Formats: sequence, structure tokens, C-alpha cells
Amino acid sequence: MMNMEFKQYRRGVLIWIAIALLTVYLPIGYYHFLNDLMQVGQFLQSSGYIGMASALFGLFFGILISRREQEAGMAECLASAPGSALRNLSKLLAWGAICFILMAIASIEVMLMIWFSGSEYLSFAYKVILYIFLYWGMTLFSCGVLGFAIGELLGQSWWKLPLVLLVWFAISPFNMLFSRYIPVNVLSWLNQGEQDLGSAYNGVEGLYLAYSFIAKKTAFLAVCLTLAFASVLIRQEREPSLKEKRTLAAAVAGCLIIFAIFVAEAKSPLSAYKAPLNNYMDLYLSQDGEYYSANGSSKTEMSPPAFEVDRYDLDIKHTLNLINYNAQMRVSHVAPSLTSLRFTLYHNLEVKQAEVDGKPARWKRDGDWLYVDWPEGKVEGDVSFHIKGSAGANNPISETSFFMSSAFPWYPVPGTWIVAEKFDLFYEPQYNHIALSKPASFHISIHANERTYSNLPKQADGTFAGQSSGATVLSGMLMDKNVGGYQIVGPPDRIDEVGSAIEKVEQTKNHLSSLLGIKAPDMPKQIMVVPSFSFFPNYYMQLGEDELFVNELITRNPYTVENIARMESVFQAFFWSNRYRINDEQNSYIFRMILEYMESPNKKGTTLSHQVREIERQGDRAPATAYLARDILQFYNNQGEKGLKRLVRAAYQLSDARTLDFSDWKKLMDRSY
Amino acid sequence: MDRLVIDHVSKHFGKTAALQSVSLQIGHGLFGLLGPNGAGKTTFMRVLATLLAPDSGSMRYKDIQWGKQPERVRNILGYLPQNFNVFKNISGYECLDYIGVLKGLRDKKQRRAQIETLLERVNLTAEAHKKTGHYSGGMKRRLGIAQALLGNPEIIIVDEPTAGLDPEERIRFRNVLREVAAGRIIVLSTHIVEDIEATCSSVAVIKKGIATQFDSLSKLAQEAAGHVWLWKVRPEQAVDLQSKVNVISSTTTEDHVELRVLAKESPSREAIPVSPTLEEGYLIWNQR
Repeated sequence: MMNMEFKQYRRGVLIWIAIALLTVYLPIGYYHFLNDLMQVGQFLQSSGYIGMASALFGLFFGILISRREQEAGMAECLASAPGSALRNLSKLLAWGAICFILMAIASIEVMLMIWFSGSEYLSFAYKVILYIFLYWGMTLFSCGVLGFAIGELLGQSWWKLPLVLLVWFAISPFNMLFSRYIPVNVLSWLNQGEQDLGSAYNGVEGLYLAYSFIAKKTAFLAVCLTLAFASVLIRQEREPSLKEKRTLAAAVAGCLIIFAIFVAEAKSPLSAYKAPLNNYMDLYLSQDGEYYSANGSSKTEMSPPAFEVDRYDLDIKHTLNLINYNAQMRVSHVAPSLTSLRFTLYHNLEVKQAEVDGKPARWKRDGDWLYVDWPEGKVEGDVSFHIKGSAGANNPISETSFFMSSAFPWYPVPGTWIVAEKFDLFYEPQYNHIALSKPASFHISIHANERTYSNLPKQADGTFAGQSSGATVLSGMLMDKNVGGYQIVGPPDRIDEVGSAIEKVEQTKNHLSSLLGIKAPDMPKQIMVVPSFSFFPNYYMQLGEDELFVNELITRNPYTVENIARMESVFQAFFWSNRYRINDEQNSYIFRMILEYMESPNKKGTTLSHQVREIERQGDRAPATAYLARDILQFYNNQGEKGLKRLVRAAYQLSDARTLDFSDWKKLMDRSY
Repeated sequence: MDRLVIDHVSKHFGKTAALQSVSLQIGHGLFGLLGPNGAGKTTFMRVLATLLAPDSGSMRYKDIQWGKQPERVRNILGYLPQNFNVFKNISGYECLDYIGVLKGLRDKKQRRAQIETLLERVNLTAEAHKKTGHYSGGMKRRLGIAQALLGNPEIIIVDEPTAGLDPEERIRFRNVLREVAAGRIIVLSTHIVEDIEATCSSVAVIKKGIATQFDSLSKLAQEAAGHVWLWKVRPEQAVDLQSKVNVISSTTTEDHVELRVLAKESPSREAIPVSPTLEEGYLIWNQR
């Protein structure tokens, strides 16, 4: 039976057209992507049109498969044969085999292109192949099955064509156009391709091969199979016998059960959102922006800890876009008068349970702060928390990746600190550098699907331990490589560029160190490419406790990576946000403005010059920074670069002690005259 | 001898009764089912071929019950439907091979041997490996009977097999049917009396879903006994009479025309009663 099905495919024209289109489209598309300096991940993600083409091909193939015997006038004769009951099954199996062959061709072709171009994605061959089979292959197969059901149910009716087009549109990434009439999460579930075809590829998150997506594809296939079996039951060429009816009914029931199981698993936390919140970063940024606009600035009462944490045992599980972990901490040097231990823990990480010395303890949350009752007079003991949640835009957790920084309270950090602030100057909240005041011993075990990296020494896969004043964990479609003595963790095809830019970062750091007259922090030997929400230079890099974080956004184009070595970027990472500073978004901006001006050969194109032009444009309504920029420019014109350097050094040294205001800058400039 | 027993079989499509309590007993050999278009022949054939389940009544052959064991029925059945056709892109041999597999002929060698024998029997050996898209209507029909014979079925159902065939192909097809009829039941449905006359030993006539069985063809012919008259007239008179009496056929000789007229009473003193043919018996039955 399968032989005949294969003969029909082989001797038909359509399958050859499909093979030809696929075979030609892939290299042409890939050639253009290479020309546009795009990488394999972006190429695959942007090839969502192949998924849409697969859906359309599948639907039409399905109809042809179902109508083949009827169209040939052979159906009745075959239906009277004893083996006829297996014909439909053999059709589906043959269709599955055809889909497999097509996807095997696509996989081989893509892998060959990856190999020829020398891409590091070769190490992720299984993911690339899984992506092709899941996004293109399963869509093709499921739509074929769905087309079969439509063909069976509608027979020769012309309604087939509009119905097929409607179905095709409904399962495409463009179905959000129906969002006024159909709930977004339903449309999101129906969409069999990428959530957003136009979005840029996130190298850390990698290809979206999350369990919820696989569940969605399985549930969709189960629906299609249910319809196919039901259509055979309803519209069979012959009236089914009781046995056939029972078998088909059992198949329908089985598929519905599979559907019910997987549809519950198929819910991505992003399903409820549509563009522009259809990626985790935008979602978290929006949530954090809203939260810190409302709450951040009200938190003025801060206190350093009156206790120490000597040891953290963190047992972390990554599920969907959440982490779920047990944090066991050894607390010591507790001030005898304390009745409550105060910690900072990002507010979206919910405490589910707390214990002190193994006994349940009362705790209280106040935004990013966490208080747990502590027996008065007790100077040391064990505190444990069960925590679940997400860590916001600065430490995004997606379904396929997570990043939690050693400079962020994703585990309870002693003391109450301000995690982030929202200022008018920036759209994004400004996250503060929060680390332990004294190194602690960390023992971390992580259960995640992807390989995990940390700043702590690796003990085994997913297990890290060591002494540090902060722990970083990073997981995603990443690899590590030693480039020029730096151990760099990053997405494939981006590590070498980061490595060469890092050498320049060190030079800039040394240059800035002499300019500012202070010793710069040591250059970490661990470099991690991490997800970020901003393209601004103040987010190009961040200094962790033992590692340097490089913004993944800036690594997407090999030419822009070099920008991380710019003075403003290095200043921000090594000389400004490397320590806890609050309520001082303005000064880093001013410093960066001056440094950019000093460094840039095109002075008129700098932020400083732009600010000055704001006065001409807005007059009295121009911001205060514009007037300061005008004064600085005047100062530069009078004093030259040397004068500007003196100003920067003096201001920076003063800022180390307290927050500068505009009058401080003016005084410093006056003094320099 | 085992007989195919059809007992009060009825089938309705909505309010339309396609078969009304049809009862027949069919023995080995070629059995004809004669009836006008829309009489219910194809419905009956499809019920026999297990494609449709009757609303009531039963059918059995040996110990096999249609309603309870359709799978067993299909194993002893060959079916050539009215509008038989084949994928254009396969050869006759491939078609038979495919259907052979569906009929459970798993052994490849055995299947090949049977296909070759059948192709020879239906005179298609030379064209066996040509694509069926190049076959004539007659060749396709012969391929159809070959596929029905695959697996050596005990019962063969042939629905309107000669419709649209040229006389030569029709004769050839009838010969094939006669050859394969030995030792099995062949139910042949047609509205062409000639086909029945040339091939069948017994017949049933069906009209508006009601069937009447005749043990022999002569019995059906006898339905018209005393109603058929041979009337020799002049050619110019013959033209006049065409519209006045029920002329079934006419034969022109040198100076006169012999008309066979169907009438309850003699249409003229010159008309003489003659023994009826099958067609005349059928016409009389059909006019009731």
C-alpha cells in the first residue's frame, strides 16, 4: 500500500515542485543572509516563511491525498477490498515519510551550508535539525493531515479552497490580525510558526525549542489527526463495520486524549501577549518599568546588613520562564538585638516558604525587600527559603535560557538595597549593582535543559561551587571558548569577535584609569555574553563580581561588537556601575557625554553637541543637561582637551564620595579656569 | 450447491426507498440484474459489495453473514463498480499488484503469477506495463474484471460493465465473463438486455427498488407470452404504424417490413402471435 502511495508522489509533479522550491530557496536565502552578516540562528528564525509555505503545501497535499482515488474513479473498487481499512493509515504514514524525506533534504542542505560557511552552529546540529523538523516538518505533516480531513469532509465542494486559505492564515504568525475578534492566547496557540517573524534573533535564548512549543505542535497534530480520523468515520467510501467504527472512535478518543494532555503543556507564558510584548525581554522591561515607576523611588530607607551570610546552597530548577529554587543559607555574626533578618530579593521572586534552623519562620515581603523573623540573641544559624519566580529585565529568564547576575539580588542578599530606579532621563529602569559585602561560599546545582555556565568553578554539569561575593548563572544556546586568555561564554559565531574586542576594552580601561587617576578594577578573565534590553552604551557591558558581561544585542553584528571598547562603555562598566550607586543617573550620563565627545572624531555628532542644539531648538524649555552641556562645550573651547580631562578627573574623584549636582560641575569648571 | 441468499433487503436514502424488501436466491453462474436507470441496481450492487449497509434484511452465503462479518464477505468478493477507473500514472500490472495487496495476496511470487494469468485471461498481457492513461475504455473494463478476479473470489459483482463499450469490446467482455463464471457466482447488473441474454442463465428484474427473480431467462421472456405479434406490412404503412402501436423492432425485407408489436390483443388480422424474446418479456414486466 505504501508503495502505491510513494508511486503517486513520485509520479506526481507537486512533490518535485516542493523539493525544487525548498532546495533552491534555502541556499539563495542563506546567501543573502551571509551578505547581510546575519547568522544561522537569525536565518532559521527568519525563514518562518518556509513554515508558512509548508502549511499551504501540506493543506493542498492533504486534500489531494484524500481525493486521489475519488478523482481517479478507483475509490469504490478499493473500498470493497478487505485491506481497504488500512488504506487511510498507509496514506498518513506515507505522507509522514514524505515529510521526513523533505525535512531530511532541508536539514542536509542547511547543515552543509553551515559547514561550508565554517559556522559554530555545527556544534548545535541537533538543534538546527530539530528546529527544521519541528517548525517546517511538523507543520507540513500536521497540515497534510488537516488537509486530508478537509478533503474527506468537503469532498468536491468548492468551499475547500476558502476554508484552506482561512486555516492557513489562522495558523500563521500573521493571525494576530484577528486579535480584535479572537483571544490572543488562542491565536498564539494556533500559530504554528515563530511568535514574531520580524523579530531579531536572540543569541542567548537561541532557537525557540521550548517544551511548551513542542507540546503545542504535538497538540496541534493531535487535533489534526482527530479531525482526520473523524472525517474517515463520517465520510468513508463504504459504511464502516462496527469494528471499524470502534477502531476509528478509539483513534479519535486517543488523539483527543493526547491533545488534552499536551494542550495543557502548550501554554507559553507569552501566549497571552501580542506584539510588542511577544518576547520576554520586552515583557519584563514593561513590567519593571511600571513597577519601579510606582515603587522604586519611594524606597529611601536602606540599611547595610547587621549579619553575614557565610554559605549559600542553591538548588535551582528552571521551568518555563521561572526559576524555582531552595536557598539554604548559613547566617553568622548576627547582631544580638536583631529580631528580624533583612534581605534584598527582587520582588518577582516570590518566597513560598521560610525556615530558621529547620523550623518554619514568619516572613514578610515589602517590594524588593524580605524580612524573616529571627530569635533575638541568636548570633548564627541556618535560614532557608523556597523561592519561585522570574528575575526581571536585567536578569531575564525565558523558556530556553536564563541569566542571573552576581550583581543582582536573585537570591536573598543581606541588607536592604534599592534594586532599581526609574528616572525620566531613561526609558529603562536603572538597575543598581548589588552584591554581598563579603564573599560567601556558594554551592549551586541547576536542573535545566540547556548547558549552564557560572562565574563559580564548575564541579560537574550543572553544579558549581566556590567563594565569591556574588553568583552568576547563565544558560542558553551557548558555548564557551578560550580567546586570547579569556574564557568567553557566548552564542555560536560571536565569541571570536567578542574576544578581539575585549583586548581593546582592556586598553581603554587602562587609558581611563590614568585619565581618572584611579586604579581600575582588574579585568576579569571570564567574559559572558548575556541578554540585555538596551542598545545604549551604558548597557554595553556590566562588571560582575568575577566576570564581565557583554550585551548580546551588541554582538549581533560583528562590526558593532567593537563599540564595547568605547570610552563611555568602558567607563560605565568599570568605573561607574561596578559598585552600588543610587539616585545618580545624571552623572554617569554627563561623564559618558564628555568621554564620547573627547573620543569622537565627529564632535558635532556627539550627544554633547546634540544637547547644546536642544537649547536652540527648545529655548527655555530645554533640559538642564543641555545648559550644562553648553557650559562644558564652552569650557572645552577655552581649555582644550587637557582642561576637559582635568575636569573629568576632578568630577569623578568627587563623585566617589557623594552625588554631584549641576552646581558641582559648574564650580569645578569655574575652578579650572 | 451454495447459494447467495438475499432476504428482504431494504435501503433508504432519506425518504427515498432505493431497495424495498429485495429477496433473491442466486446460484453459481452468471446472474443478471436487469432494470432501467435509477431502478436501484447500483444501490443493490453496492449493498452486495459491502459498501452500503442495508437498513433491514439480511444476506448470507454459506455461513457468512453480510451484516455481521463484512470483512469475511470482502475476502470472497470481487467487485467491478459501474464507473471503474484507475490512476492514470500506473500500469495495469501495478494496479493489479496494488489491489492484490489490498485483497490480502501477501506472497509476492504468488501474486505475480496470479496477475500474469489474469492479464492473459483478459487479453491485456501486451499492455500490462503501459500506463493505464493510455488504455481504451474496453481495456480498462477488462482490467476491472481482472482486478475483481484477483484472489479467486467466490462471488463477483459487476455493475453495468458494458456501458459505453463499442460492440467488439462488448462481445469480448461478455466472453471474458462467461469464461470466468464457472464455479462461482457472478452478479451482473445492466440495463442492456442483450448482455443478460448473451451471458446469464437466470435473471432478476428490478424497478423502483422492487426486484422480481426469474429462474431462467425464458421465464422472463414468457412474461410477454401472447402479447407479441409479428405483422408484415408495406414500408409506407410501417411508418404510419410506428406511432399507433407499440413497435418493439422491425425488419425490412425487399417488399415489406416485419414489425414485432407488443399488444395485449392482436393489432390486426394479418398479425400473428410469435414467441417473445427476453427483451419483450422485460418490456412487458417493466410496463406493469
